[in-house]
Amino acid sequence: MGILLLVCSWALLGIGSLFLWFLRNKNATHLIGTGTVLLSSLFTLVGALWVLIGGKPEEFYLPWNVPFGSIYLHIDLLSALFLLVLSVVGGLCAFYSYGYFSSEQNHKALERYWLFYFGLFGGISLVFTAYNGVFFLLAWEGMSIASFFLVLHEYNNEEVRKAGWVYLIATHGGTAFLLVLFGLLGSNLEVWDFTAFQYPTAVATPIFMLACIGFGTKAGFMPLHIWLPKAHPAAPSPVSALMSGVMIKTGIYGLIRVISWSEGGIPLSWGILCIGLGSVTGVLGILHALGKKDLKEILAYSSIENIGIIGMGLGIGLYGMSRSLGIIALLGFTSALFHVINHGLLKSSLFLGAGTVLHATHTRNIEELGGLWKKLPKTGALFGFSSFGISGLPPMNGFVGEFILFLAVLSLSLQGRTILDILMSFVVLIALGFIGAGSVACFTRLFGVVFLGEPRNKKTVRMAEGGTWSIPLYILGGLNLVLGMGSIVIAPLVFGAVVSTLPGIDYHTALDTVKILRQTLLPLGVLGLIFLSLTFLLFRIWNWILKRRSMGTSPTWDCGYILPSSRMQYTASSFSQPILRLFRRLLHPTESFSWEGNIFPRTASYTYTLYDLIVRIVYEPLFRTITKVATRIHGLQEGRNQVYILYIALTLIILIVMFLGGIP
Amino acid sequence: MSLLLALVLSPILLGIIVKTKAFFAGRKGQPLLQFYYDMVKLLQKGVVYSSSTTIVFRLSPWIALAAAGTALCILPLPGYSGWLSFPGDFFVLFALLTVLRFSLVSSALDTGSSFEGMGASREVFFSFLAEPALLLSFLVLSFGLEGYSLKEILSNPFSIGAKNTVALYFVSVSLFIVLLAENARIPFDDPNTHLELTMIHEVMVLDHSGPDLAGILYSSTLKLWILGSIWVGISIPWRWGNYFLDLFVFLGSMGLLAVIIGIIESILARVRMIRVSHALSLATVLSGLALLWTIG
Repeated sequence: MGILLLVCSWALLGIGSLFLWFLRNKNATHLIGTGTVLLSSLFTLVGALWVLIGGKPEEFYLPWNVPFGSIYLHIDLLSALFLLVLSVVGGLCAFYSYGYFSSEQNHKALERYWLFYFGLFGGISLVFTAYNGVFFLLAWEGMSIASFFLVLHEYNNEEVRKAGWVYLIATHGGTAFLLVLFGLLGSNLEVWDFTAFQYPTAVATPIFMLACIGFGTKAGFMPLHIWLPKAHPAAPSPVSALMSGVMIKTGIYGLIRVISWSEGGIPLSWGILCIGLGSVTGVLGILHALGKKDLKEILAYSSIENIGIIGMGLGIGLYGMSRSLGIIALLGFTSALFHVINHGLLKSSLFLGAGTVLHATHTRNIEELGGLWKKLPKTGALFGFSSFGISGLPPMNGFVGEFILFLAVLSLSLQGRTILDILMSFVVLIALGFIGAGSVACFTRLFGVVFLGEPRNKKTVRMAEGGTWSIPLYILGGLNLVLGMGSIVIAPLVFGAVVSTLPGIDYHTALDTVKILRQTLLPLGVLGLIFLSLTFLLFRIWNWILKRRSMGTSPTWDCGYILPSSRMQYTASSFSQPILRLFRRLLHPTESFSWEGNIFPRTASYTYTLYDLIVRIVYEPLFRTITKVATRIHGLQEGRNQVYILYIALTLIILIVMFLGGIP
Repeated sequence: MSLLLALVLSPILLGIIVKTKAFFAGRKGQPLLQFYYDMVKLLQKGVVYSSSTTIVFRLSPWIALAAAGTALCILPLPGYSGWLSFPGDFFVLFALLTVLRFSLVSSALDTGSSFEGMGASREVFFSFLAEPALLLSFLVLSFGLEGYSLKEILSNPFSIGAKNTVALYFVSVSLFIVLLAENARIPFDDPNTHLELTMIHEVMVLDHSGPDLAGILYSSTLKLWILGSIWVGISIPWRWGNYFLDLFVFLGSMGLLAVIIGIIESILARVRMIRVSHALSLATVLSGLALLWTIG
C-alpha cells in the first residue's frame, strides 16, 4: 500500500510534467505545477505514515537489464521517516512557490521551475526508496541535476551562474566517490541490491571513508561544505528551503544505510572521526554564520552547523556501537534522526521567511534591513518563532535533538568511564556549549537586525507580505511547537526507525533506552506546558494590570540625544564583533578601520568581511597548486605537428631501449 | 516548598549584597527589603513604550519570568528532590535560562537603541564563553558523583571521594565565576553604574518601565537564586538528613553567598571588556583541570 501510494505520487509528477509541456498559459502552468506537487506530496505523506504507523516494511522488485541494476523499491521505517519530512516540506514549499512566483511574467521560467521542482521532489523520494545501487545512483543524479537547474533559476545573474558551477562540481565530485563506494560494495555481486550489500571488517574502513566523502559532500560536513553557502543564496527561496530542509539530509540517510550494512564490528575510529567532523563542522559553522551579512548565507551556515550536530549524534552512536554500549548507540542515532526532522522543519520555515523578506525588500544584506516587523508582522512573528526554535531552546523541537544527544554523552561518560570515553564526551559537550550559545547569538542577531528596531534604509520595503504565503509558515511553526512539546509521542517513531535499521541491537537494550527516553521526554513536555501556560497567564495578568494604568509612547531613550537616526542602531557586524574578535586568529577576517581626526574624530568607518576558512586554507592552495602544475605541463603541448612526431619517436626509442635492455 | 522559598526570598539576596557593600563603604545603606518596596512601587506605575518597539518588547518580560519560573520547577533543595527530577534535567535548566536571555536580548534589539544593542551584544558574548564552562563543570560533577540529575548530583557532593575533593574546589570556583558573569555582577558588570556605555545587563532594560521592569528585575533575581542555590549545593556539601536543619543551612549558605558577592563587589573593580574573556576562560580551564583530576 505504501509503495503503491508512492508510485502514484511519481505517476502524478509524470502526468503533471506532460501537462506542463502542452500548456501555453502562464496561470494554468503555475496552478498545475503547484497542484501536482501538493497532491503528490499528499500521496507521499499518506504512504510514509502508512509504513511508519503500521511498522511493516514494504517492497517491490522488478528485474532490469541494466548491468548490476534492478528496479527494487523498498520502504522501511527509516525511509518512511525521511519521506515524511520530504512530503511535508516539499508540499509546503510548493504551496509557498505559488505566491512567490505569482508575479512572474515569463511563462518559460515558470515551466522550467516546475519541471525541475517535480524532478527534485521525485528524485529525493526515489533516493529514499531505491534499494539497488544503480537505481539509487540514478535517482541521486536526477536529484542533483534537478536541484542544479533550480539553483540556476535566475541564470541571468552572474553570481548565480558561479554558484551553480560550484554546486555542480561539488555534487559530482561527491557522486564520483559514491560510484567507487558502490563498486567496492558490489565487487563480487551480479546485482547491486542493497540486501546483498554486506562488507566484512577488512574493507570496512575504506568503505566508510568513501561514504563519508560521498554522502558528506551532500550533507555539508566541513571541509566538504563549500557549495552550501554558495548555492543556497543563489537559489529561489522555496528551493533553498527544500534543499536545506530535505535534500542535504539524503547524505545523512546514505551514511546510516552504509552503517547498517556493516557485517562485523564497527571500528572505534569511525565514531571518533564522526564526532571530530561533527564538532568541527558545528562550531565553525556557527562562527561563520555569525560573521556573515547575507541573510540566506547565514541560514546556509546555520544548516552546516546543524549538520554538525547530526554528525555528532551519528558519531556518538557509532562510538557506542563499537564500545558495545547499546543504550548510548541508540540514543546517539535517535538524536541524529530527531534532529534531521527538526532541522528540516525549522530551516525550511526560516528560508521561506527569508524569501518573503527578499521579495519585499530585494536585498539579502541584513545591514540594510531593520524594523521589518512593522511591515511584515506575520512573517516577523513566524521568523522569530523559528529563530527561537533553531537556537535549541525549549519548548521548541530544536532543543529535543540536542537534549537526547546530551543524554547520550552523559551516559557515555558515566557508563564508559575510560579516558577515551571521557574525551569524546568532553569534545561533544564543549561543542554543544559553543553551538548552543553561538546559535542564540546568531539568531537573536539575525531576527533582531532584520525584523526589530528601526529600518536602516528607508527605501527598502517595497511590498507587503502576500496573503496566502504565510500559510506554510504557520503550518511549519505549529509543527515545530507540536514536535517540541509532544516529543514523547514522536520519539517511538524515530526510535523504531533506528532499531529496525541498525544491526545487532538486542531487545533488552532497546527496552532500556525506551525507558530512558520516556523518563526524560515526558517531563520535558510537562515543562514545556508549564512554560507556555505561565507565559500566557503572566501576559493576561499584565494586560489586566495595564488596563488600570496609564500607558504612554515616546522615542527610545538615547542618553537624552534629541535627533537619533536609525543609522545609530547597533549593526549586525558590531553585534557579533566581540565573539568574532576572540576567534580572529582562527578565522582571519579582512578588517579595515579608518579614523580621521585625532582626539575629536570626524569620520570613522569599520568593515568586517569573513571569507570561508576552509576555502582559504584548503581549496585555494589546492587549486593554486593544480593550476601551477598544469601550467608546467602545458608547455608540452606545442601545437606543431613536428614536435608531436618527435614525442612519438622519443617514446618509440625509449620503448625499444627498454625492450632490448630486458626491462619488462 | 523550595519553589515558594525562591519566589519569596530571592529578592532579599540583593538586599544582603547591598547591605554588605554599604558596610564596606561605611554607609548605612538601603533597607534590607528595599527591593520588595521597589517592586510594589513599579507594579503600581504606568508604562511608557518606545515608538520603535513591537509586541516582542511587551512579551519579553513575561517570557523571561515564565522561563525562570519553569526552571524553578526543576531546581531542588540540595539533598532533596526538586518538583521534577529526571536524567539530564540540569541541561534543561540551563536551556531555560538561555530562553530568558533570548527574550531579553530580543527586547533590547527591539528598541533600536545603540546602547541596548551594545548590551545585547556583550550579553551573548559572555554567555558564549560561560556556556562551555558551565557544561564542563557539570560533566565533572556528574562523572565524579555518578549522578544523572541535579538531585543526585547535589545530594552528597562528598561522595566524590577524598582524592577528588580538589576537583570539587575547582568546579566550585569555576561555577562561581560563571555565576558572577551570568548575573551581571562585578567584576563582569556593575549593576550600580548608571552610565549607559559601561553597563551590560542593566542597559538592556533601559526602556522597560513600570510592571514590565518589575517582571524583568524579578526574573533576574530568580536567576541569581537558581544559579546561587546550585553553587551553594556544591560548595556547602554537608547534609544532615533532617529537612528543617538542611533548609536552615541552605538558607544560611545563600545568605553567605550574598555576603561573598557583596565583599567581591566592594573590593574589586569592574574589569575591562577584553579581560572578561580571560576571566571566563579561566573558568573553563578550571573545569577542565577538575575533569583531568577526576579521571586520573
